[in-house]
Amino acid sequence: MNRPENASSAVEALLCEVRVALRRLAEAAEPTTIDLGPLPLSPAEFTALERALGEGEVTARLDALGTTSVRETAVPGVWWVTHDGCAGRVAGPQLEVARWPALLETPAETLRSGLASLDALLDASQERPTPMN
Amino acid sequence: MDKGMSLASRLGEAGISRRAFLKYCGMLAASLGLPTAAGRTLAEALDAAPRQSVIWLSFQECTGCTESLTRAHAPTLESLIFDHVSLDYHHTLQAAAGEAAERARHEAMERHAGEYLVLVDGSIPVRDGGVYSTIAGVTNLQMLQETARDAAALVAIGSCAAFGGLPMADPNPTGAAPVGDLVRGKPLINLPGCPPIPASITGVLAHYLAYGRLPELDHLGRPKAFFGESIHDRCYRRPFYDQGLFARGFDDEGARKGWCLYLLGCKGPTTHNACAVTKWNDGTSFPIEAGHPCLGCSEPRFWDAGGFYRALSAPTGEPAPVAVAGLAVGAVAGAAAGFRHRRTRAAANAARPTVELGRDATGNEEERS
Repeated sequence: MNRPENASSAVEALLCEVRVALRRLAEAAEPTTIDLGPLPLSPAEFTALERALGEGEVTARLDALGTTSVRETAVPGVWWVTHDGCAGRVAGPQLEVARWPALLETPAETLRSGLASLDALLDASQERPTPMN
Repeated sequence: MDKGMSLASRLGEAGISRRAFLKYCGMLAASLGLPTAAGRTLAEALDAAPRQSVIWLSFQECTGCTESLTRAHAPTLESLIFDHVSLDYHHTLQAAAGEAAERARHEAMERHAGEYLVLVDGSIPVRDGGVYSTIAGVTNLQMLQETARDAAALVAIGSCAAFGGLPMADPNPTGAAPVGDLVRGKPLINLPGCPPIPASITGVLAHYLAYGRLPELDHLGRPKAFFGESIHDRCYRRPFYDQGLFARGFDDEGARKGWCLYLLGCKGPTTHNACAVTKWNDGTSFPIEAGHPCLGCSEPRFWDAGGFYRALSAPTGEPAPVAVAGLAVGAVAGAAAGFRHRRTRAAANAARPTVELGRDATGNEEERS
């Protein structure tokens, strides 16, 4: 697909928005998610944005309702979050400006069930008869 | 299925993790135009939401709206919400038929009086006593009135239910009318489209389940989250429009290069919908991306608006070769086009024979043409 050449203004505008969000995170600890899905970005603009933000140190993959890829950019506190599969058609790629992406955090509601399953595992192993010498 | 179970518990039983649920709520919040933090509150509200009774009435329709929702690709995000409602009546989908089906509708109306949602697809014929479409010997109009009486709210799904659609196109032989013309005094939300985008249906349901009220609507009763912006404003071909680069045929150089389809009749500038964002067929594309102009199917009277392949208006001269001049041409042409298209639709509205009813949905109505 061919695109118009002068596409950099959209990328600059997005980078300015990221800068505002990052300042808010640094000064008020308030995270922001910028949803790129609704924006009519061309592939060239998208690539330019990826190139501008660069690659960071952390990459993670989440397998829940399709695959979600989390990549840190070269700008600390700015993360790419992209959804594939069934989730990808509802939400486009996002830029999450946060200390860590919310999806990577263990949901508090699941801690007790995790504890219960570990209890069950250890209880079962204690009930097993000790092997005779 | 236990009707007292929370949505999260139900999803857990289906093998969907808490994190997946939170992910879905985050995406749902984004699609509803809510701030980032709303994903968590939406999840908590949906967790606590009781199972909602829904009665789905299908009148003069093609079943495309039901297909849009139920035949989405698996595993469907839509099913997360759709499975959480108690679909007490849908005569296309339900196993029961005949008297058993109608009994199910009446039982749901009695058991959940004042609480159930009524989803309607299809327009309602009112000419000649409504004889042109009946179910179980009852006219669509009677069934709508009876079911709407104790409903908490109504949702008109698809352009036929919301605006009359194809059945109401000139000369409107059955006297077709949209839900909003026949039911008054009840909250009503219009979800037009031919068919409507599934995410808009489930988004509205989720919003109602979570917050107990309908989302913010525009002047045509459509949720602003999905109909707040025009196809044109979100179209990836918009930069070509701004530069005055148009396809002039379906096989010319402009078409091959993916230029703007405005001169081929695209109604994107005057059409409000989320196709360019949400897309169709598992996120594959939308009509303009497939090389076809937008038909404007989510706007009132789109069938009578002057022809699908007729441009809203032609620019007065050849587009200027430079972007700045093209932008000016585009802006002027767009404003003029919007005005002319609205005028065409207004003329179509004025020309059609009107069918009026004497009273609102709670009383007996008589047609006066």
